[in-house]
Amino acid sequence: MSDGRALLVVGGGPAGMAAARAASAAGLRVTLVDESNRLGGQYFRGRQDSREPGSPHAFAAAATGVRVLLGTVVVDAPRAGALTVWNQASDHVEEIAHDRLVLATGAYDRPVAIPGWTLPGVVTAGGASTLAKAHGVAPGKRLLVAGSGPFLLSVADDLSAKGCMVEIIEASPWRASASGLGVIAMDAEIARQTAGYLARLATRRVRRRYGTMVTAIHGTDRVEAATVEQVDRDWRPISGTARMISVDGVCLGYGFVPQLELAQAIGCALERDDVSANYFVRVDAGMRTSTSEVYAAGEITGLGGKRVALAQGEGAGLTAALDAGALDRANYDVRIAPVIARLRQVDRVADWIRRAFVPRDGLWSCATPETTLCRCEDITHRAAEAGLAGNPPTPYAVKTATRAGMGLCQGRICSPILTEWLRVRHGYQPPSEERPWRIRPPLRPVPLGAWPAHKANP
Amino acid sequence: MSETADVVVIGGGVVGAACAEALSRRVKRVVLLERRGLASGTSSACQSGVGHGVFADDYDLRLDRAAIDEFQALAADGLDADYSRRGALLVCGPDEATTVREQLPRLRALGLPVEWLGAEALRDAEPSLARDYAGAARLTDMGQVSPMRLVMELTARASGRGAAIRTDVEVSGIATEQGRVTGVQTSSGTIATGEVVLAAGVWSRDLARTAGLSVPIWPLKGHVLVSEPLPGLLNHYLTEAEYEVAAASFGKPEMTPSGPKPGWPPRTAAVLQPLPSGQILIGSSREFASDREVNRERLAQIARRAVRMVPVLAERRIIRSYAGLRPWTPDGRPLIGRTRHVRGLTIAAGHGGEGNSRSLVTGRLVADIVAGATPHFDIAPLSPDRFDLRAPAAAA
Repeated sequence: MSDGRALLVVGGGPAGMAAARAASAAGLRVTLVDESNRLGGQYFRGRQDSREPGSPHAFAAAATGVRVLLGTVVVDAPRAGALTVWNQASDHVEEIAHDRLVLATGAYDRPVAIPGWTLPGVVTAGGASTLAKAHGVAPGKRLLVAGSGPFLLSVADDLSAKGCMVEIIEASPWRASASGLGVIAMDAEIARQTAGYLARLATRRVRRRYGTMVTAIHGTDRVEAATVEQVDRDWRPISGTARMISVDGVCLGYGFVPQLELAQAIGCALERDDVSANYFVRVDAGMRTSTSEVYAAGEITGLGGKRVALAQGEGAGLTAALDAGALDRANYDVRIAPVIARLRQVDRVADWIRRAFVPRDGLWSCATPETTLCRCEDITHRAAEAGLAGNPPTPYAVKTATRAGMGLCQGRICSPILTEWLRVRHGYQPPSEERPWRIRPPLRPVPLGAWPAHKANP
Repeated sequence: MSETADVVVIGGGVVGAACAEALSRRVKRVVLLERRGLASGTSSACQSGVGHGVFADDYDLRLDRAAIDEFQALAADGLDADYSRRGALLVCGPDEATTVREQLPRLRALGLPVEWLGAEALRDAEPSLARDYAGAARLTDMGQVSPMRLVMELTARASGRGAAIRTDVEVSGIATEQGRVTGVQTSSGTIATGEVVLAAGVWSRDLARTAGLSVPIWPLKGHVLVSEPLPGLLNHYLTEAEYEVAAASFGKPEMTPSGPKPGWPPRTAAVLQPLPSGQILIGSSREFASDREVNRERLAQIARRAVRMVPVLAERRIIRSYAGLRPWTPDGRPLIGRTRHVRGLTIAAGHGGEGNSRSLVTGRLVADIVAGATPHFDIAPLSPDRFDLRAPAAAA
């Protein structure tokens, strides 16, 4: 059956939908899988009615002929040209063969381990925003939205719209935000969006504090208060500035971490960006990864936000069609040119955000010895420190000694924390081309009766 | 750069770490060399059992007894490593019950406490088991350990006594002159020493070759699945007797100069080990292969046997799988001791699936040997020279 034109897209967010749509229009047979039961990814979660460009609504309206499999989790990459997926509702496991693959697996809120981060009432900013939009629920009545970057404005907007008292605690200085005025002014969409946020936040009396950070969260059974301190340019607290604020919820939004498990399992080359303390999938101008017939788009290539994801997704879909012979070179060139131009335009704001709001080293110095490092296995920073016991400080050494990262989440939460904590506190040098922890199948928890037993021959 | 050591231990897995720990009590300058990270090889790709055989011969069972004693002694001395001795069940179908029960008096006579549980007692002891088993032997002294934590704790103890633990140092050769060890060549220089302990598990054969020795240790690959935390699901470490009975009657693979002859059938069995975290390690398999990639068919076979044994596992989630290499020897026994061919070299390798269990006793024996004392346990049957180490080096 293989005519080279079967394309599998993993991830139904903006990048994945754009890739599927472009590739399908260019003549590929496209299957799109996503873990959740709705298309749209994190960006459109709770906003299924959105008519924005790249929305699930727009995707459906385009009648692309894409086969969409929702509630479908990729659990294994057993060999080139095949992924094993598990449908949660039917508990059915199957292998999907493909000629080409687009990875658009997105990102999740960056986990940070400040004292008290595991208390009920502490949520990620993205999680809080989704809860507010999809279920009309907020994590508390009096909230701090703490972290860095313009995303905080959007989260504060969503939460204050539900009637919560909200204060924004932005760790970067005011000038980081001010430095973007020029690029924002030149980008009509962002300018309009930002003005909207600021106007609504002002109406709802949402205060914004710059150069301040939540350095500890307090409470016995749940959040009761937070310590807020002014910080220097490295986000290290300035002594004498600590204030205790009484709150019942804290939303932490220090940017995002790309979801790289599948790319890593397939063996795509990664690269570390020391500035943003993240690893990304390395891609060429056509969104090809280092693995042949595998493309990547959206957050896993560099955290550019929705508009970058849309352009990259379209680019990946077109390049896959070109490589499959469904588009000839001339046709490809005609279609890719506006995509590249659009990407260049929207990337200006993305690039400003990437550079102005990166996490600084002080973020990983907030943890005290008692602060939890690995939630699944209940490992503190003190235990991690003790586990090193004179051995070279690597994530692997901590894992070996303490089981950090060996629990249910398999390091999705604690590995980024551990890597940066070791770097800042112990002089660890994270490797530049691979993440310092391994991925083993299954890529997500899957019932033993479904995987891998489905292939058993008695 | 030149450095000297009284003894260099090659290998940072459970056996090397145990050797370094025991040596650091008796010898001054102990250096342990590990080419990657501590416990990065077999010791992080195995299961957790510390125990004894059932069908093994008397000598091996005595060695197992000594091995368990070492764990209990070190636990009394403050070792944690998640070591627990809560007993294992060797679960028997009707076909195996008689064969297993015949072994029990011999095990007791060798100091290994065992009791027979009939079908009803078995259901009380382990309610999640499938209902059609005839009974089980409860092996009271069987236990579990976290091999990774064991390595970290042993190396921390050793370094607390002045041993140097060096990771990311690759050994390129064991230097000899006139049949005697003179040093170890590494990726960061040569270390002059008259005593080397080769504890590099499956990688020992290649290293021994640099000293002109042909050590018959070959990789035997095994697979393991890890469940989500399932606290309270199992009370014991469970092994299928069907496997033990079959394993006892398996023929040895035919040897060729380049190792065991391929075609020896892969074996799988359900070996379920509940960890303190609530996760269950679900093994195991054995086959001759030298890569660490997981083979999905093998995982499926293990999964099927595990579900047959504990049916509710079908609905419980798996969070990880892995494969590791066990160092296999033609007679199933480790090589522990000196060789007449190279003075100053002590081999401590080839522990098969018993590396965890026998790590501490190996460390103690090696420390005796290097310190020139008489080992507390008869090691003649473990002598590396029971094999012809001067046999022509096999092609790599």
